[in-house]
Amino acid sequence: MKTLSQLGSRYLKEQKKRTILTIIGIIISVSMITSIGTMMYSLEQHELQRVRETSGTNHVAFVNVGHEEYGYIKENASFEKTAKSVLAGSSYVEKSSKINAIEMKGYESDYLEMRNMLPIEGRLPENQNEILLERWKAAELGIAIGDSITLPIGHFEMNDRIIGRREWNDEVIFRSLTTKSFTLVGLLESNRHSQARNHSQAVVDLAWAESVNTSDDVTTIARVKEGLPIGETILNVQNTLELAQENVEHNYVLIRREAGEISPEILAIVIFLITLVCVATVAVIYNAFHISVIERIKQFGVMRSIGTTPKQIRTLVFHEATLLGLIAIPLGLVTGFYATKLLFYLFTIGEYSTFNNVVIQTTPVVLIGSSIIAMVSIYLSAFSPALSAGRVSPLDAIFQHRSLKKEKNTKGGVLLGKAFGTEGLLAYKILRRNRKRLLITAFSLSISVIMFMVFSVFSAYAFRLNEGRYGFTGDFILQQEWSSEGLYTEEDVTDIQALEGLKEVIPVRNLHTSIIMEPDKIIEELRQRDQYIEKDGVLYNSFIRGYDDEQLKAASKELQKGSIDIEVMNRERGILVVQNARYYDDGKLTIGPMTNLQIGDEIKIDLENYRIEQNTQAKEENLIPLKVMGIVEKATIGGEYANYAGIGIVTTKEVYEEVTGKQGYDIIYVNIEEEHYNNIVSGLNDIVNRHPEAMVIDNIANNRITEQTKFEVSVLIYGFITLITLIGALNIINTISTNLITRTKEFSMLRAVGMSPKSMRKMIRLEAIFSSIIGTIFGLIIGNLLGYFLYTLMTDFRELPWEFPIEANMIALIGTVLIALLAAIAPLRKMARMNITATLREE
Amino acid sequence: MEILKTEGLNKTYKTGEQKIEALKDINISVNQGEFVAVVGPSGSGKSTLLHLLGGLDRPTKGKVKVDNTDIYTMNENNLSIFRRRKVGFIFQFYNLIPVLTAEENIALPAMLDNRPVDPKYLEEVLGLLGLKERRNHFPSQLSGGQQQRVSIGRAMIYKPSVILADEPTGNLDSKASKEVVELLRYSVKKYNQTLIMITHDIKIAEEADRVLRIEDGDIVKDEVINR
Repeated sequence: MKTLSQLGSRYLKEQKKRTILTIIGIIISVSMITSIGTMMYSLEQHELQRVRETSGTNHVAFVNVGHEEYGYIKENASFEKTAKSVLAGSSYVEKSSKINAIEMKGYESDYLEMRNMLPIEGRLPENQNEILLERWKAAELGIAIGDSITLPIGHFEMNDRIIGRREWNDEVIFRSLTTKSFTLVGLLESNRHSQARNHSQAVVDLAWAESVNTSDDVTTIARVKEGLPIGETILNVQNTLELAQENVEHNYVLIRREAGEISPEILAIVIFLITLVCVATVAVIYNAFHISVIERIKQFGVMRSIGTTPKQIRTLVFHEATLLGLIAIPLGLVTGFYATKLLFYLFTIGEYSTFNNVVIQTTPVVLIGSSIIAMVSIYLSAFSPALSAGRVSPLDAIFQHRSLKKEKNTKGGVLLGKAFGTEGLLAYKILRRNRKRLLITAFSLSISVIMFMVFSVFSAYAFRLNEGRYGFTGDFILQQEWSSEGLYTEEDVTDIQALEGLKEVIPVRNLHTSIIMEPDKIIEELRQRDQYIEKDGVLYNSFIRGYDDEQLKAASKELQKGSIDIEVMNRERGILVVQNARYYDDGKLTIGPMTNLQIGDEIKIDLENYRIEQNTQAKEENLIPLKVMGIVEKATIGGEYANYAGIGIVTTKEVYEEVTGKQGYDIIYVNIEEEHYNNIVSGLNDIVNRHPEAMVIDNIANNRITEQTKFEVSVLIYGFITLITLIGALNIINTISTNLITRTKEFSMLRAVGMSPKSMRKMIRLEAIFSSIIGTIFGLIIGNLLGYFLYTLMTDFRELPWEFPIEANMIALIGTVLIALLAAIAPLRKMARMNITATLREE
Repeated sequence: MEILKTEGLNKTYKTGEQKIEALKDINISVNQGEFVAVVGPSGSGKSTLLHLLGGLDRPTKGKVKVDNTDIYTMNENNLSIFRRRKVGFIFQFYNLIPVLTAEENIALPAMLDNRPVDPKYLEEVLGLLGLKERRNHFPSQLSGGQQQRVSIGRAMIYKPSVILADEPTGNLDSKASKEVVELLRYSVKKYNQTLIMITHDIKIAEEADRVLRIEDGDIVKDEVINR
């Protein structure tokens, strides 16, 4: 309908102010969706990147297959990339009584690349006399790049049989077949698992490995071509080659991540947030349209009176909607994307100048999706205003018939009148008389408040999830084997502290123990699961720790109940309790309380059975009573939480030594300056070698990834909440100024009857305050409810106690009022300059 | 020839507890080409009658027949089309669409039918109204008299059989008033249209063929002026 479309665009052009406000409303909504889409996509890409770094980029490993099978796999067109490794032999270095295996393999360089095993220093071997070792192993052996080392080569066997993969026990012996001298040409990153097993990896020349390995055993890793079904492709190869299940290892972590598979819990959260944003979008755009239609009721009435059909009026409104969408959506997409990028840029220059791992990127899916959501929102939003525009009764519209209601002097009005003078009374009356407008304004403001509340709940829990995902750790961890009763001594600690290049040494007095209490102090769920717990009230997976005075003082920041008084604790055998335990529940990492102990409760520790099996009987005479003096959220030093069916207790050094009778440390965390790495590794190894069952683990690489991930995720979360807050603020500004700008005639009328500019400012400010408070209260009610709902979704994923977001509520209330006042400034300034008669004359 | 007829037309408003009878059992008949002036004190029901005659409102009881069609049997859509094609409204406050030029405002009813305006006729109307020079001006750039002339043009563009004018001169000075009335008279003569006009101006009423006087929703006087 050409005429009507012309009329629509003419309206938009003529009513620039309102058109711009509406466009801004749409831009806000579109950029909200775009930026959230962009952030989610970036987060997913970041996760994918992280998974590729930690799990490699191969989808499958064919383990111990023959050369013929390898040939088949290599030629198979369904694989994008394949690479092999061949075992040359094992080596064994006797540094102490401990097993010290080195597995020497030749690799194709693609293998190392796919598995993220490329040297961190030096280069790959070029001939049979060259070798690469893990960084910690080289340090332990005391050699650097360029140095030579002679290693025995042979295999590990048990009962006259070469042991298989993952086979290991105390009867394994090393059979040396030959010795060979190598030059160290490069270093691999320290691998945590190889350290824990004391079974390190070495890279040697592939040709040499193949020449000495006569067993026809090859390990092949492969990446399936993009677009092919991964599982099916692998199964085809497996069936063709008649490979046993154990010879085919899927890289499920990567496969799942690449498939974009998300757990239903996370999906629920994502759907919830996206739905919320969409609803908010519809609301913001709806508001813009609604206001635009209400403002033009008279014109619609005129058009109706000269014979425009309701359908034609609807078409007119829809046409405007389309036009506005076409203008605003592209702008919104660009704004959303670049705002997100800018935001992250600002975040990252603040923290780490070198930080550049979170790449903000977007995909057509996000952009097209946002556009579609926005367009649908726009039409949905235009629908009801279009209907009401069509339904306009021409007479009412033209003559502005309104049935006059008798005003009652309500208490509220009188009170406000007394408190804020005539202006307050007027502002109140204006709001009361224009219920609909107040409703629209308050509703629009509440959208911002709701979004802010929900996203602050989201970010608060996301932060706690992010923090809780990784435990307490250090660059190096000196620990004892699980079954060992050995402890590090004060002397060990002093010796470690004497090493050069140390930052921090954190020795932990820690013992695993059983804790016995009244069964009804243990949570119901746990008692139902475990009869032993039900009957005897024994939490067999607990720990007790002894803190130095200073460590105890630092622990007070985690204190939830009670107090920390070292003297009283020493005198009455007082303890702090960590009621939460960290465990996997149906494969989900969960942190939740095991007990509901209160201050003053008594518990007993059973040290006789301090590393007990589940069914060891406790003897009454061995039990030592302790008194609960504080409840802490988590332990500040060492692992934060006990495992399932355990709690943590923390006490003073004195009480600890008194009740346990132990002097020494179970575990020592060491943080270092990295340039002293080699020197420290050998120093730590010397100390570890004093104890038969002790080991040192280089956790630096691991921590680096953890820290990076933690930081990146927190940047993303900060980004989320900042963006939502900004968008919310913009929405408030837009709402308030729309409200004021479209009422100039009303204001000039008031001016005409003698209201001073000062009174008018006061009245408008009061009106802004009243309506923002009403909007905020409404928003807070809904926002807190939705926030709680989101919390229940998120704690499906990990258990965390609900905390009422008092701070966020305060920020929302004060913020909204302040922003609303701020938003009134520009229109007020304009009104101060207005020509009363000119505005009154305006049609 | 009878063009317009009401049968027992009633309109009642409810305001809170009160019931206001704006029109009580009105029976009138108007012939084609007649110029009827409707006079009466404010609040007497003049405007209500006019709105009911033009299909802008719905009666509580009774019928309005235009060209022998009972207009209130039509649905809203057809009633809109009826207004567009059969009736021309002129309001005291012009009620032009501010974003359209004078010419576009005049052409609007035809445009709503997706029908090209007969350019010759449009020129004729613009000439008649003395708006040729102002055709591209927006309502805000026109004087009151000019705006009212535009709204007359809009009412005439479809050559409707009935033109309903609600105090078209109520907002104009005497010179402009005179011009507007002359224009209306000229136009209804020329195109053989029926003009029903509410006015407070005795002089204007005196120029009509017939004067209806309404008080308290009743026709108290129906006087044919013989010249």
